[in-house]
Amino acid sequence: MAPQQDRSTWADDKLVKDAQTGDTAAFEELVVRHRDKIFARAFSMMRNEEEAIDLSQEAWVKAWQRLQQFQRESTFVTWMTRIVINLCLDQLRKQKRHRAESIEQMEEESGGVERQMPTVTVNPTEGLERRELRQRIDRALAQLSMEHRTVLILHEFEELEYKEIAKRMECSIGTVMSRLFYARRRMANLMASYKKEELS
Amino acid sequence: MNQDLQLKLQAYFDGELSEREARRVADWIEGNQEAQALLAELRLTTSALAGGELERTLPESREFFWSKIQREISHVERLEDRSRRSTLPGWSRLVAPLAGAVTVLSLGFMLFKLYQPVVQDPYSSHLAEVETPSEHFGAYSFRSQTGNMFVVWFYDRSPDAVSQSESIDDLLPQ
Repeated sequence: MAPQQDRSTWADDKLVKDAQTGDTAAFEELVVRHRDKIFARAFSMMRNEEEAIDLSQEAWVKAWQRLQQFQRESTFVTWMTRIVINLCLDQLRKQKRHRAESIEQMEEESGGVERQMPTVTVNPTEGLERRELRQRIDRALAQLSMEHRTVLILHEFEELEYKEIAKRMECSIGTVMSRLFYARRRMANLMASYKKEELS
Repeated sequence: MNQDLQLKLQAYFDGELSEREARRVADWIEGNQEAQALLAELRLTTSALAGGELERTLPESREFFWSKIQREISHVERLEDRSRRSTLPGWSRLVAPLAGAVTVLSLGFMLFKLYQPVVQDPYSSHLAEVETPSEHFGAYSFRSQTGNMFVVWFYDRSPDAVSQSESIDDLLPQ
């Protein structure tokens, strides 16, 4: 029996090329390599571990089905991330239909609240190590409503333009802008308050 | 600062404005302290978020997670295979419905003929020569269904008599 190849050192491009010919072992290596990142993105959006696992799994299956469409216009992991984000957006839309909004969310949606927030002037992340910073970002993200968190992730982490975000979230560019503005101001104030907690 | 100006400032920061609009906003920011403070805050927030998402580990073993994906891929491929095999070639998809239509039409036609009331040409006749034993006269029978009558016509068989008679056709209603 031929020895199994060690694909752990192969570049993503090579693995993708092999997987596109039907090589499931190559695809498995891609899954192993990037599953945590895809899961992390799904979790950031859904804030629920079980949902994030299910959506990541679904994203990998979809990627296998659409592998022939991957034309290397972006990296494989960027392409995968977009797949899982779209699945998360679909899921969030389904959930929104059944979810009652809290008063806070309604205030956020109606706008104007962000104008009452004081302007943050001190860098709330100064002196923080990378892991601590990411923990604070994650803690603050969890405080945002689903819509504000989504627009922030799509803009700041995915680096999408307003137009693209509006298309994916099925809303107007104006809505994207006001949600993004609110989300940023809220993040700044939350992180400033965490720093105050730390110092007190 | 109203919301429109705030959003314009944000759009300027994100590079979403046209060159002309960006220049106008830049000039406005230069002379406005509140705008400068807000812009500084946006910069701080963006640079903090550049630190990225919290790294997370998927809480399932490599083998278990992969086995679920593999199972789902096999399932999806089986479904696709099944749907490919059951799809007939393009032209043959027309044969079944056509054959069915032809069968139905044929049956309908047969039933129609079977139960169709006999409609006779009003002038249809069943003219038949009746065999008579006599050499002196002959007989023709004439039956008309629509007229609901049966006529027997006796005629003189002698050579002289036949040549003078009208033809049977002439006797038929025109």
